[in-house]
Amino acid sequence: MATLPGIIGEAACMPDGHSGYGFPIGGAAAIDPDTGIISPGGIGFDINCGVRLLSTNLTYDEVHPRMKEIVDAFFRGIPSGVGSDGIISLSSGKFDDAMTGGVQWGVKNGFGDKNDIECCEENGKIMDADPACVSNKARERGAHQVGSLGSGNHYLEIQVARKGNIFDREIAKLFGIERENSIAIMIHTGSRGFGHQIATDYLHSFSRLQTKFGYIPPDRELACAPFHSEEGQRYFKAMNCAINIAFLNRQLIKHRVTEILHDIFGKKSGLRVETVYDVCHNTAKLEKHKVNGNLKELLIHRKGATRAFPPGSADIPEKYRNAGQPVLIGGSMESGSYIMCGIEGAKKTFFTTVHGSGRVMSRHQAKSRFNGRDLQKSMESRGIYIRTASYSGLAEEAGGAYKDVDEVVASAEKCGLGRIVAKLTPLGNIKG
Amino acid sequence: MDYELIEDITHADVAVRVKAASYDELFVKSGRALMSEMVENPGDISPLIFKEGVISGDDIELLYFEFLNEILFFKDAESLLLLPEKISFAVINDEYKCSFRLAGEKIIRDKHIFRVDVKAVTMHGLRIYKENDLYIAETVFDV
Repeated sequence: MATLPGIIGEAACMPDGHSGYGFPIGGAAAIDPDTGIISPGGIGFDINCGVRLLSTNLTYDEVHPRMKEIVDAFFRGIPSGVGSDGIISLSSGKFDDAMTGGVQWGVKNGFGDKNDIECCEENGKIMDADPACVSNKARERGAHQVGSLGSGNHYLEIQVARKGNIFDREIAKLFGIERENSIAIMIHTGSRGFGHQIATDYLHSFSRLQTKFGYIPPDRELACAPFHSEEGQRYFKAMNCAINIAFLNRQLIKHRVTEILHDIFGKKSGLRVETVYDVCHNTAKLEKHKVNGNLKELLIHRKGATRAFPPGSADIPEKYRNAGQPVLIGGSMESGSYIMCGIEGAKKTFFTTVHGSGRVMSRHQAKSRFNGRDLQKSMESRGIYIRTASYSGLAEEAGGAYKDVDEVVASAEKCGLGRIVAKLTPLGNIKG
Repeated sequence: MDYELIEDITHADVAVRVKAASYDELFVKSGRALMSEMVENPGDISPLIFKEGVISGDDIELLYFEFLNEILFFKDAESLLLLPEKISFAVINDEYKCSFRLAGEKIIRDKHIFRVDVKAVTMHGLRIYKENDLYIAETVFDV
C-alpha cells in the first residue's frame, strides 16, 4: 500500500492489524486525490462493513433472567447466515433511492428516528453516490438482502458494562452507558452482496486498465484508477452507494431490535433503544487534514480500520463534539468490546484507529482447535448465550483465534490513537 | 478434499491451491473447492437447476476470477448453490474464453450445512501456472 501513487505521509497499520489481501486488515493510507488513485483493494469487498452501538435503559438484572428468550427472538427476527434475505426487499426504484439516501431513506420510510441520522458517520448518507455507476449484477445481488447480518465475523451482541469497566464516567454517560450494569447492543455487518459485487466489478475493470494508467501494482488486488479519471469517479460513486446501503442495513436491524425488545419488555414503560454511533470500517472518504501545516482534502482509504475524529471536529455530532468521536471496537464473542473516543494524537494516522481484536489464527487453524457445539456450551456456562446459523463458522470465531482485545486497545491508547471509555462484556450473541 | 489450503497467506480469509491436468478440469475443481469452503456437504447439492454462460478474459487469471465470481453471484442473487458440471475452455485470437454449465439447487437450510459465506474471489496472489504436467491455481477467497 505504501507504493500507491499519491500516498501522503506513511501508510499505517493499526495494533489490531493482520494479514489480508491488498491492504492488510487494519490498514490506512491517505491519498492526494489530485495526483493519486482510488483502489478497491484498499477498501475491501465488504464496503462499509461497520459497527453500530445501541444504548438502552435496560439493566443486567432485567435482561439476565430472560437472556435465552431475547437471543432466540433476535435469532428468529433478524435474518442471518448464508442465503438469508433481508428485512425488506426493494424494488428497483426504491433501491436506487436507498443507494443515495442511506439511513435518511430508512427514517423517511418509518424505520428509525432523527437521532439515528445524527449519530452515524456522514449522518448515515454519504454524498456523491450515483446508482448509474452500479451494475445490474450488484443490484440483483443486493436488493433483497438489505436488513440482514450475513455470516463470518458479523454478529449482533447483547453486552453489559460490568462494575469496574467504565473508565471515563462522564464520556460513557454521554455515549449512552449511564451506569454499571447498563445493557447495550452491538451490530456488526456491512453492505452484503451489493458491496461485494461492486468491489468485484471494479477490481475486474481496473485490473484490465493498469497499462493505460501507467501503474502496475505489486499485487493485482491493488488494481486502481486515478481518482479523477472517469473510471475512478465511477467506482467512487458506486462505492458510495454501497456505503449508504450498509448504513441502511444496520439501521433496519436496529429498527427490528427495537421492535423485538418492545415486544419482550412491553410492560416496561419508557423503554429506550438509541443509536450511540455508527462507524465504518471499509471505506475511502474525502476528508480535510493538515499536511505540512496546510489544510488539504485527502482520500483516506481505511480497510478494517475506524475513523476517530478528535474533540472539536465539525464532522461528529454536536452532542459528542467536546468528547471526540465515539469509536466502537468489536472484540471477539468471548472477550468483550470497547468504546473509545477520538483524540488529537491520532492525527499521525489521519485520525484512524483500531476496529477490533484482529485475528492471530487462520480460520482453518481455529476450526481444528475449537469445536462449535462445545464452544457454544462452554460459553453458556460462562454466561454468554449464543445462537448461530453455522457451528463451523462459530468455531472459526472463537476468542482464541483473536488477539487479546484488552492489549489491542491498550496499545491503541498508548500510541495516542484514542482514549478508552468503557469495556462491554458479552451476554448474548447471534451469528450468521 | 480435492484441493489444498495455503495457511500462510491470510488469517481472515481462505487461500486454496488446486491442481488439474487441464484448464477445463482446473476450473471444475476450483468451483468445487469454492463451494466446499462454504458448504460442509457439497455432495448433497442436487443437480436440479442449471445455469449456462460464456465468459471471456484478457488472460487466464481474469477468466478464472470471473468464472468463480459467477458462482458467488448466483448464490446471492438467486439463493442457488451451484457446482461446475461442464467447462469448455478455448483461446481465440489471444482472448481467453470459457463456456460453462453449472448445476445445483436452491439453498435449503435443513439440508445444506454451511461453514461460512465466501463474499468474493480476490486477486491477491492469484496465480495460474503449469508445473510438470499439472495446471495449478492459487487464489484467496474473501470470507
